[in-house]
Amino acid sequence: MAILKLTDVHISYGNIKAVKGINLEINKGEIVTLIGSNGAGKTTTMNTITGLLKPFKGKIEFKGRDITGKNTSEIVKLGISLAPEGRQVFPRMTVIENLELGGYTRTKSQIIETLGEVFDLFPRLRERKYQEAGTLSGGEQQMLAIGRAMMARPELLLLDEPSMGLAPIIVELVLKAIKKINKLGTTILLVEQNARMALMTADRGYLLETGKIVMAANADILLHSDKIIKAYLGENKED
Amino acid sequence: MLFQQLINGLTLGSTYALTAVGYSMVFGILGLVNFSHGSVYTVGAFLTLIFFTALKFNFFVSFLLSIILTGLLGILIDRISLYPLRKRNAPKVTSLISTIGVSIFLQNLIMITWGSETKKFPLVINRGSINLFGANISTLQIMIFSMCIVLMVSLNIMIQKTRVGKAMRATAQNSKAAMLMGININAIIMITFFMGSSLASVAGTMVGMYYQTIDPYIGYMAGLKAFAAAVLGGIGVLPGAIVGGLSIGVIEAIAAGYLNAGYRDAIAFAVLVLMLIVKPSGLLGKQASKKV
Repeated sequence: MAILKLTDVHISYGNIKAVKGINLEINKGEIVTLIGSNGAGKTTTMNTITGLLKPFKGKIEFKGRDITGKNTSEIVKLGISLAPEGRQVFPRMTVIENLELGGYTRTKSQIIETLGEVFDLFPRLRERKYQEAGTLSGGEQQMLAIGRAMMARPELLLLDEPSMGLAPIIVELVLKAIKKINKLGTTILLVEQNARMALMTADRGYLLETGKIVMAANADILLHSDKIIKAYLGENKED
Repeated sequence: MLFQQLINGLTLGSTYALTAVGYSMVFGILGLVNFSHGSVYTVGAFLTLIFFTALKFNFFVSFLLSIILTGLLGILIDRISLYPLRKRNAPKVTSLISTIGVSIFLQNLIMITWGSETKKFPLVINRGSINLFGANISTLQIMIFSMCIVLMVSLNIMIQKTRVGKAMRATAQNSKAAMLMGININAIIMITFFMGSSLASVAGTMVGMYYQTIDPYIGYMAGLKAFAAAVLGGIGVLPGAIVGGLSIGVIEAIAAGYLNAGYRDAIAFAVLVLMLIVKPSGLLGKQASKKV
C-alpha cells in the first residue's frame, strides 16, 4: 500500500503555475527519487507535501489519510519530516539544540533515544555537539539537517537536494547514511538535480519537467534510458 | 553628583530596557518594528491607574490585571493588524505602517475614553530613601531597577533554556525551518506579543509610579527611547536590549545633570546615531553571515 499518494496535484505561485497535475506514489520502505532540472517543480512539490505550500487543486494522502492543506506542524506530527533545500539549520544554536528542536513534537525520553541513533549514524555530529551550527562545514550542516529531520522519527523522510554544494567524498558519505536510514525502516523521497547519484541510490524514480511528470520507472531503467542519459547524465561518465 | 545621576539613569534605563525587549522580540520573530509598542506602554500604565483609582482594586491586583490585559492587547494587535497581512504575504513595510495606524488609534482611544489631560498617579510605595556615597536613592528606585533586572534575567533564562524559548529562537533564526520542526509559528508569535506587551505594561506602570503622573503621550517618547535602546544594543538580541536601555538611561541622565536638562533627549539620540555610524549592527548585534 502506498504510504504517500499525490493525485492530480496543481501548485501555483500567484499566476505562475509551478506544478501542473502530478500523480505520484511512494510505497512503504522504498527510496523514491524525483529528478529534474532547475525550475521543474521539485522543491515546490516537497514544500507542498509538508504543508508549507497549499495546492490549489488535487489531493495528497498519507497512510490513506487526506492531508491536503493541513498545517505543517500537524503533518510533522503525523510522521513526515523534510530536510529542506539549502540545509536551513538554525545557525546560532548548537548542534544538540538543533537536534532537540527536530524532536519538538516528541517527549524528552524519546528525544534522548533518537539522539543516540543520530549520533551513531553521524559520529561527526557527536564530536561537534556543543558547536554552533553556523560554524559547521557544508557537509556537516547537511548531516545535521538530515539528523534533525530524523529526530521526529518520521515514517516518511523527505530530502531536498542533500548533495548540493558538497565535495564528492562527502556526497558519498551522505548517500551511505541515506541508505542506512532506509534500511532501518524509514521510507525516503529524495529530490536531486544530480540525477546519476539519485538514481543509483533509489529504487524508483520520477522525472519532472516544467511541472509535469514525464517518466516514471524503476531507477535502473531510468538510468539507462536514452532521454535521461542525453538530458541529465551526459554522454561521458564524468558528471 | 555623578553617582546620583548614574542611579537616576539606571532607574529610567531599566524601564527603557524592559520596553526595548518588546521591540527586539517582535523584530526577531517577524522582522519588523512594531510601532504600536509605545501606545501599548501607555495603555498598560492607564489600565493600572484605572483599576487602582477608579475601580478601587488593591494596587498589586490592579498591576497584575493590567499586565495580563495589556498582554492580551498585544495578541489582539497582531491578530487584527498583522496576521491578515502575513497570511497574504504582504511586504514588511505594509505591516510596519499598519502598526503606526494601531499606535495612532490607541493613543486617540485613550484620549477619548480618559481625557487628554495629565492624570495624577498616586503614591503607592513609601518613598523612603537611603544615602549611599552622597547620593539619595529612594526605595522606589531600587524597586524599579531590581524588578526590571529580575524580569529581564528570567526572560533571558526562559528563552535560552525552555522548550518554548528554544522554539522562539528557532522561529527568529529561520521561521520556515521552525515550521518544519512541528513548531506552531502562530502560537509562538502570540506568545511573543503577549510577553512584549505585558513587559511594556510593567515599564509604563513603573514610570507612572516614578513620576507620579501619566498622560496619553507618555508612550511616545518612551517608545522612541526604547526603540533607540533596542537598536543601540543590537535589535533582535535580548541582552542587547538590556545593555542599550541602561546605556541610554545613563547617558541622558548624565547629559541632563551636567549640560542642561533640555538636552537629554537630543544627547540620547545623538549617541545612537554615532553608535550606528561606528557599529551598524549595534553593541551586541551580530553581522548576519550565511554559508553557501
